[in-house]
Amino acid sequence: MSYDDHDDHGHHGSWAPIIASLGTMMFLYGFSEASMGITAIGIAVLTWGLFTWWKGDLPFDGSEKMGELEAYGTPFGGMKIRKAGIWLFLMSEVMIFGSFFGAYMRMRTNWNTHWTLRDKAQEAIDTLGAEGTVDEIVKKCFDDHHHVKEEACEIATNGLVNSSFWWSEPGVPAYHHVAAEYITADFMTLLPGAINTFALILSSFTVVLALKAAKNADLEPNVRNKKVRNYLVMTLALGTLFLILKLWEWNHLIHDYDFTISTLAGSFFYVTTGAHGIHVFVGLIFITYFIYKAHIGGWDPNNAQSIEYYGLYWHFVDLAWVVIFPAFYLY
Amino acid sequence: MGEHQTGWQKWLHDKTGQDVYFWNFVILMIFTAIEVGAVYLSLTYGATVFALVSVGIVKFFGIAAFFMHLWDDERELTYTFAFPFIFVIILFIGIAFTSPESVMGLPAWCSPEFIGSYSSTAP
Repeated sequence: MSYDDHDDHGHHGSWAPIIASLGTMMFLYGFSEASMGITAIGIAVLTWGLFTWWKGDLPFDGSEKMGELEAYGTPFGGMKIRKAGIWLFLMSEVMIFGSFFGAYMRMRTNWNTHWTLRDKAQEAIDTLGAEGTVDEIVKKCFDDHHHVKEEACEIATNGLVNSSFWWSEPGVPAYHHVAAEYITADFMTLLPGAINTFALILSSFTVVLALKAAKNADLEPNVRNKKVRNYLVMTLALGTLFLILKLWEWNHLIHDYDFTISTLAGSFFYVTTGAHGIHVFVGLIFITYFIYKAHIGGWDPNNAQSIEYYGLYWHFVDLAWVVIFPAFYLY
Repeated sequence: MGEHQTGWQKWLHDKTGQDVYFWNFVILMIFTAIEVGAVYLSLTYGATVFALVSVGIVKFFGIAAFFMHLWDDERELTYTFAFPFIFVIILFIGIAFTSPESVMGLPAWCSPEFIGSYSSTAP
């Protein structure tokens, strides 16, 4: 029976959503107030709520108890409720990464700097006799990749736009050198990010292959589970490679280029790529359980949808990287 | 997952022996190689940005449409996924791409200083 047979079975009451909501509220409150105690209690309550929900409603096996629950009502009526749920979750994820990206683009367009620079160029022409037009002077301040040429800019503006324009004080840049300037400096510096991009795409494909194997009713159960396990192990290995290279790359940027989180550009880079890395890490935790389940022969076509829903999350992590990689590493 | 392939997906599978997921994977790998290569081709700034954005759109579509099954799944899921992008676009236009006042000129209730317990380090 499925839960959409509500005429026969009605709705059961559950405290799980309220418990989970209370836990989330405590977690966020504790987080914003930097209180480790409230944060920890919030996480514990949230975990309790999710566990209660899991035990009460989600047998996940498609055959026992209530089976795979289905949504009813607009707009998700008839869909598997976990599938609708994961898409709603991804909806919130879009907002998270959209916020990071919007703030980053605010800094990267750097129009404050350009407008101020144009004013300075005009001032240099009017008062210091700088040669050329505003556009010509501004053009001399950047190379073809929009990296700042401080000395050339100082000469072009007869000294008006000097290092104090780009550096508010020693060690504190007013104009923020971004990670891409260091990462694209040579191929070997870019290599970890490039490998990671290929690794994530490949890992998305191995998740698809694991799902296809799990859904293949023609395979013997042990063969099916072995295939699923192997594809998921490949995904785990690629995800782990991603995190290792990420940490290596951070170490390289911090120690070789002094590109730290203390600058505006650095905080955007590390918070965004760090948030993405946490998503990868969480994905690896889930996949470790999935591998264990394959190892004990737990996957069959009736419960393969769990891999599909996990895959949606994993593909979204890949999707976020599709935006992060060119924006933060190449541009 | 759209395991019941129809139309051009079935044709593709019959002709090549590989399904749409495989070819999507191949295309994504090729476009990633183009993406990385574009940075080293000494293109102009505008051309580089154009290449990166174009490749990004293709890759985004490939992953969302086929790996995430939006091509075959219910339209409601596509709308669900697309919905927050409305707010992201508003965010971009309102904050990222408009005026130099876009941060300091926001309404007071958008400012961290509106809540007394927070301090602002905004320039």
